[in-house]
Amino acid sequence: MARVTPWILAASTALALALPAHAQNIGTVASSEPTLTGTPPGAGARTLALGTGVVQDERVSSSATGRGQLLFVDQTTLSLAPNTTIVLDEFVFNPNGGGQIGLSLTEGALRFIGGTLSRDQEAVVSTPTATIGIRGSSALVVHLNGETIAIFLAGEQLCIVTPAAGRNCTSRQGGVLGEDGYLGRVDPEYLASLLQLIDGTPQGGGGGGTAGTGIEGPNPADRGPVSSTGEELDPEIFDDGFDIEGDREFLPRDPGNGDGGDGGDGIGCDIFSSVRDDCV
Amino acid sequence: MFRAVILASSAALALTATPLAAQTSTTEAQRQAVFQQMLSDPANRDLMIQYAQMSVSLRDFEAAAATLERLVDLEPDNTAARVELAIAYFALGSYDVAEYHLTAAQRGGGLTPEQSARVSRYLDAAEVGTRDNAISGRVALGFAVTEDTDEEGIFLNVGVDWRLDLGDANVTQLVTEFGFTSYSPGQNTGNNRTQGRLRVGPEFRLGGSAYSARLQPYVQGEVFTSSVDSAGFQSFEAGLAYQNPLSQHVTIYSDLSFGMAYGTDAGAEDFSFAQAELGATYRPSRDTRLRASLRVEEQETDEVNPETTELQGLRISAQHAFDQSLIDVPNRWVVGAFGDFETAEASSAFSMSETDTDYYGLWMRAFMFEDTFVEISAAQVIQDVTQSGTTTTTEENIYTVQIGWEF
Repeated sequence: MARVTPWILAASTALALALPAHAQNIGTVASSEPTLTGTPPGAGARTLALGTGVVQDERVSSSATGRGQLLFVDQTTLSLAPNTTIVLDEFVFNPNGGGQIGLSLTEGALRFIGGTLSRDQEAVVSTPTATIGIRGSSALVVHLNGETIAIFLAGEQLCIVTPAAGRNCTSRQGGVLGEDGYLGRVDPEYLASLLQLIDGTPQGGGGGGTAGTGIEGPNPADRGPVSSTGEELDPEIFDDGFDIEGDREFLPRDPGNGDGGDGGDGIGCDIFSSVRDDCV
Repeated sequence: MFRAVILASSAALALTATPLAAQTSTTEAQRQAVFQQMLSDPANRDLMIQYAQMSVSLRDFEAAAATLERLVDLEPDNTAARVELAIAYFALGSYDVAEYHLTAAQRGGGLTPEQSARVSRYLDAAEVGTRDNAISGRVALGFAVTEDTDEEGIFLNVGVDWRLDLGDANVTQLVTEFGFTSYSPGQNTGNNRTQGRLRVGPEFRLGGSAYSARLQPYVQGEVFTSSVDSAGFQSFEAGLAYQNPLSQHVTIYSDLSFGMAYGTDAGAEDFSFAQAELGATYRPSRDTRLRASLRVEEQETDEVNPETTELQGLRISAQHAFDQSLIDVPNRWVVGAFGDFETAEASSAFSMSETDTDYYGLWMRAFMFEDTFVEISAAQVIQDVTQSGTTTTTEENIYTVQIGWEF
């Protein structure tokens, strides 16, 4: 190890000198298999190993057998499939709020899981044929054989802008947008093949125990989905009145009080019954 | 006694909100600190788990999913992490992706029997989540007892929701809700009653966003029959239901409607009515809900000398679902409490009366099996009826127990 250290130091120094002085890391390589290649602006190509920082305007490519994930300082996560090339066009991040994230996908497929920057406004993924807007959301974006497809995974909204069809959006989880607009729900087999392309073929055998995130429950929650900022709709809000939720329904009524006389204790009269003879 | 219990329960739930808000802020600060460490050490498994754990506690399931994606990428045979990744996607409503990971975990083998059962249940629920045509509901059979008047009887309670996905880009759904209740305390009382309601209308996502406001214009029909003379009616109404989740803690909602009711018994009067309800839900956590709503109703009989009834009501309720990891039960247990305060003034050319009703209750729904529950409740109603200058006060305690099936 002691013999290797000077080489690493030398390589790091050379790399640092190769990068423009103003270059600031906007993210890091969080996983790569085996490696990704990065080309920072004004510098030569470099190997992006696990933990290497990436900078704005850097071109990042995966080989035919390579995959990788980039973690950005705003918590956005990008996963790249093999044979994918992106350019990190725009990244402005103010930890106290505001900013913008934009990238170009020239070829390949990626998964975008949004961070802080895409919560209030769209993150932009440009391809040679379309512009994808991702707000509060996770999505898959594919540009292969000159055609762009985007799949909305979760969150608020996914949009596509093309010269031919203009702007089209979906808020349907699993909704697919193509260059002609909304194409319907994703086919599970196509989705599986895309996820395998990006993540590799799932392996098994590990089993047992928990990973420890605390998310696991013995049963699925009876509630609906949650947005990336924790919002969820309340399906029970309007349930009152559609079943006996209130015990007032069981209040006794006086059956002989139809004459409006001194019978009727009034109990059990509701807005409807109060104008009926049995209640006043 | 009841009021004290209700107030104490509601106060306890409300008090949990303040420390929870402070705790949220602390957890967020800790999470940011862990994230900074993770940026410089992205393959550190412990940091990833810590970050995902804090994200789950903050209801940021997207961040949890992103982190678990990286963990699964670094440890592709970690089936437990894959199952939790699937559950994170499930929580986000990404049922297709959840299904993919659950199926992969199942096929990978090595799951414990508990894990395997959990994966099967989540797979079933994810499949339901992707249906275009979803029916859900609840059927319950119960027994009710009133203490002071010593009346008792059985009741049936059915609620069915049918959601038909119309297939557009923003998941417009045609929502049909059916409710049926029947109470039979016996032949010696006038309280035998049956009520059926059907509501139909499309539900739109305003702004084309998955969590923006929802608006449902609807039409509703109702039939009410009773053993009380001249109490039966049929009604038809049109309305507009709206809800908007403003943040992870606050949702506002309203329901406005108007319609006509037609008496179906001899001597029964027809009347028109208009109703408005405005409310807000506050959720300090996913499991706890505090809700307050104001309602205003007005109706007028259709006759030469019409009688008008005006009603104002305030309802405050709280409920908490127990975490299944804390109590070893097959499905959730939920406890709730409410207070309802209502004033109704009825007036005509010949008479005027005012009815003030205070209504308090506690309930608990306990799932004995995955889809079968027992629910018990206790409520107290205190009513002051003022007519011709005389006020009569009555009180009643009501207890119910019911067994139900949820589907």
